Order: sequence, then C-alpha cells, then structure tokens
Amino acid sequence: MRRRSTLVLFALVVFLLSAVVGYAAEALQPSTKDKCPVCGMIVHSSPQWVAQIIFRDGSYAMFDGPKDMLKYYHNMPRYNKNKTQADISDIYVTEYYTAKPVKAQEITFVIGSDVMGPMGREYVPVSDNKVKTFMVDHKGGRSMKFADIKAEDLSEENAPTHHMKDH
Amino acid sequence: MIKHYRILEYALSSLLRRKYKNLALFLIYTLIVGVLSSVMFLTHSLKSEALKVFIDAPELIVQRLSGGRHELIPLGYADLIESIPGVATVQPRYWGYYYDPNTGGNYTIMARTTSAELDLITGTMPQEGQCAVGKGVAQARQLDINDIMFFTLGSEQKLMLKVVGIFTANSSILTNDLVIMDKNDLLRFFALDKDKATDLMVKVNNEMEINTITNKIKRTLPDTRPITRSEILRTYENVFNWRGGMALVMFCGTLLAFFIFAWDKATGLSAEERQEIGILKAIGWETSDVLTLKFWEAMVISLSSFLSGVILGYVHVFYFGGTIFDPFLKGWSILLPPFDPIPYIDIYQVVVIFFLTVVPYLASTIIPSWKAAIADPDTIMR
Amino acid sequence: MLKARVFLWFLTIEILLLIILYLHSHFMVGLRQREVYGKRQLVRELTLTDLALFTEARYTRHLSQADMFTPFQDFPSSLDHFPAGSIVEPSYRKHTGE
Repeated sequence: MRRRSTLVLFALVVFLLSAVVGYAAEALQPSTKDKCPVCGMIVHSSPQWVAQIIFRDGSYAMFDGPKDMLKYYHNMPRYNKNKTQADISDIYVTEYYTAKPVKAQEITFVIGSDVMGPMGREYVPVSDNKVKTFMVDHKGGRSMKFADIKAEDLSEENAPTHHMKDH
Repeated sequence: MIKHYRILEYALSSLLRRKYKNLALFLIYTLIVGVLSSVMFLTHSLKSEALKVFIDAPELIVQRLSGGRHELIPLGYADLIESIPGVATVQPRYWGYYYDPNTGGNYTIMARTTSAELDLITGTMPQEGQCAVGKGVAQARQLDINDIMFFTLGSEQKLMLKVVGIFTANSSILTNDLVIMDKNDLLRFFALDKDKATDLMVKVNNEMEINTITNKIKRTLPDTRPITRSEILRTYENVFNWRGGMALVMFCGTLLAFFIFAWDKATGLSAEERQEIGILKAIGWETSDVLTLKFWEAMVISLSSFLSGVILGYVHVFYFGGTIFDPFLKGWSILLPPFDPIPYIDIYQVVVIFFLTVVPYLASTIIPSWKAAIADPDTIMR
Repeated sequence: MLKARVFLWFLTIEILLLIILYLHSHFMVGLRQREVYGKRQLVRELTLTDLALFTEARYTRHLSQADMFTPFQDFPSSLDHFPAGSIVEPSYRKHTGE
C-alpha cells in the first residue's frame, strides 16, 4: 500500500516537473527592444544569429549571437546576479541553414569558420547532419557540442584563429 | 552690416539698369538649375523607391543559358537545387513577352504565383480563363473589368481571357505592362513544354548563405546563371545613380551649357562694366568695396535663380511627374508608366547643385572684376 | 533702401517655400508609406524583379535579368539600337572569382 502511494507521488512529481519544464519550451521572437546583455547591441537587426536563454520563471535573455550567449551562460554571476544555471529552462540558438531556433543541446557548434556574426567570429550553430557540408563550404576549424564548450575557450578571444592553423 | 545693406541696394540698382539682360540671365540660370534638380530629384526618388520595394524581390533567380541565350529551365533542376542545404523552397516562374500588334506595345506576361489578396489591385487575381492587367495595358486596349482580352500569335494560337483585375495606377511603376494569367493558360498559349519553366525562384533561409548556394548552383548546374537579390538591388542603384547612366546624360549637357555660360562671363567684362569700376574707384571706393559690390551683384542673380530653380525642379518632378523627361525616357516604348514619384529627397544633392552652379558663377563674376579693380582707374577708363 | 528690402523679402519667401516643400516631401513620404508596403507585397507575391519603365526591349524591361553581353543578343549593332539603351547602363555584376 505504502509503496504504491510513493509511486503515485513520484509520478505526480515527475508530471509536475515536466509541466514546469515544458512551460517555456517555445522559442521567442525577438522584439525591437531586446538588447544583448553581454554587448548591448539590439538583437532584432540580425535575426539569423539570435540566441536566447529562457528561465523557468518565464523571463528570458536575448543575445545577438551564440558566442555572447555562451559567455553569459559560463559567467552568470557577472551578467545576472539573480539567476544561476539551475534556473535555466531552455537555451535556443538559431540554426545556420534553416534560420530557425533549435535547442542548443541538439546542435553542433563550429568555430574558426569564415562566417562572421554581428560580433565577428562566431560559434556557428549547425545541425549535426550538415556539419560536414559547413566545414567544407566555410573552412570550419573545429566542431563541438554545447556541453563540451568550456569557459576557458571563451576567455581567449583569438581561440578560433588558433584552430584555423590546425586546419 | 549697414554697409553691406547699402552696397546691396546699389548692386540692385545697377542690376536694374540692365534690366532685360539680367532678367534673361535669371531665367536661363533658373531653367538650368531647374533641369539639374529635376534630374536629381527624379532619379533619387526612383532609386529610393526601387531599393525600398525590391527588398522583397526573390532571393535567387536561376536562369538557364544555352548558347549564350536565355533558355527554358527543366523542372528537374528544381530538385537538385532543393537538395542544397540552406535552400527553403524552389518555385518555377513562368513569364514572357507579348507584342501586341494592335497597339504596338510590349506586354510582360506572367503566370500567377500567388492566391493572396493584393492591396494594389481593383478586382481579383485571375483563375483559369481570366487575367489581371496593369493600368497601362488597360488604357492601351481600353479594357475595363469583365471585358474580354484577346491574344494572338500567328493564326493558330489564340487566347481569350476575361479581365478580372486591374492594378491600381499608383503601382504602375511595377505593373504598367503586366498581364497576369493562370499558369495553364500561359503554357497553352506559348506552347511551352510542361516540364520546363522560364526560370526558377529559390528561397533561402539564411541570407548569409546566398553566395555559397549561388556558387554551388553554378558548380552543379554549369548551364545556369543565378541572379541574387543583391544584384537586382545593385542594378537599380546604378541605373539611377546620378553620377552615371540615365542621370549623367541629361546632367552633362545641362552642366556643360552652364559652364560655357559662366566661362563666357568670366573671360570678358564689358567696357561699360570696366568703366563703372573705374568711376567707382575714382570717386574713392576701396577695392574691397568694389569686390563686395560685385559679390552682391552675383549673389542676387545666382541665389535667387538657384532657389527658384530648385523650387521649379521639385514642382516639375513631384507635381507634374517630370513631364519634360517623358520623351527621353519613353524612347520607343509605347507604355511608359506615368511618374508619380514619392518625394524622397536627398539634401546632399541639393548642396551639390548649389556648389556646381552658385560657386562657379560667383567666381566667374568676382575674379575679372577683381582684376579690373586692382588696376589703375586711369588706365581702365581710358 | 526699398530695393534691398524687396529683394530680401523675395529671398525669404523663396527659402520659406523651399522649407515648406521639404516638409511636404517628408509628409508625403509618411503618407505614402502604405503604398510602399503595397508595392512590396506586389513584388513578393508576383515575384517581380524589375520596374516597368522601359518596355521597348527585353534587356531594358528586365534590367536585372539581362545578361552581361545582352546588348549584342539580337544582333551586333544593337548596342544602341533602342533609345533607352543609351541612358541605361549595362547591369553591373560582381565577379566572384570563385
């Protein structure tokens, strides 16, 4: 009897949690007012680069490129004192070939390519099956998943150039 | 200040002494500035409009070339292009030209690509057996909605379409010579192959990828020629650039005429004018006073003509649709859209006209006078 | 000092007129913004690529669709065959070099 009620309780918790997680699953349209919290640029003007972090409470941060989103993500205390990585519900980046928002975890980031974002060299989000094409077409240097990107990679500005040489 | 005011009064009196000559000068000057500014206003507003409107032009048009000529493109190419990463959709376009023997006009025939409701049309978009025409076509053929329009090619190919829509007059610059009909009517009338289109329109998701896609199309389909939207925009930027093309032709003639006119003034002061300067010097005017006088004389003419000319140009272009240029622009075409340009103004161009006309005129008046004024009054008057 | 005063008044009126025309142009641009949207819709929906300015020849009707060697496409001397050909530059195309 007791075991069963625990199970029910567990199921309920899972259900509620998923409901909470599922709350902000939709990517947002950048408005004309959204500014990148890292560089201060208006996000709206380069829609094919927009990245966003959506928090569990429904608030969000819009970025003018995945690079700034990564900087923010890996240095939350500096840019947003009220939130931690644990508060994040979803991270979206705009996939290069479709220009549509995709979850950052489901995609590959390519650095060292000749594709320039609004802030120069970028971590270009490319869907997994097109990474090869992108590497050839745009002289991509290195590809990595979201989880593999370290804070140290971001601090050295010229990292992508370095990888270019390897290529 | 008071001194300048007095000298201005004197300058006006001396200009009025040669009333007719100066009036003629004023009129010619005004006319030249009027033509110059008309050219600039018209080309600038057409350019601005083209650049604003063709922002929504197709991102990529793929034509097929055969023997250096535009050729129909097989629909099979569409699948190849669609498989390139980054391509959203590929849509065939069907269009062509029709020479109308009755009116001598050339029409552009296009197949309907959309079923959307359009703002700038009275009536509706055509279904099979119907057509929508531009204002120019409607006027040339004296068509109204629900009239029947005939097309013939030789004796075999005939087409009768009911006019269901006429594009509004203010869209003429885009639609004046258009005839929009259903794809099946167009294919039947021009006897086109079912598996070929005039060209392919490619939609691209990320505009940064357009160039890569263009290069891939050129590589995989060497007999094609992709035309990007930025090339369309650049074409119109160049056509209406006031430093080249259309504007330059009209511009150069007028400007040269002006320079001859200013040069003529610059090279010779009349004996009368020399004598006047001599007398002024003799009664005690300083050289600087004489120059101020000449400056004001030139300023009265050039400033008032310049301002009148710009006003004339503006009114000519934006109220009367640049009618003077019609014969230039029309050439051999039967259908020329009536110009009703949106007044986009570039102040910089007005400043350029100012420096091209007022400054040379001032210089050409003052420099010879200065030469006369520094000479001994006795020698001048002798 | 009557003439100078009359002249200065004339200048002032002309300048005022120009300012009014300038404001008028701004006003009209704002007023006809809807028309521009309408035209953009036409361009988008009908997939138009060119202005219907010169209908006398293929390469003047569709300036941006004409090819680089178009002046010669009908016969060699057709370079200036059509009057509009003399006031329209051949379409400029970037050489990608790739």
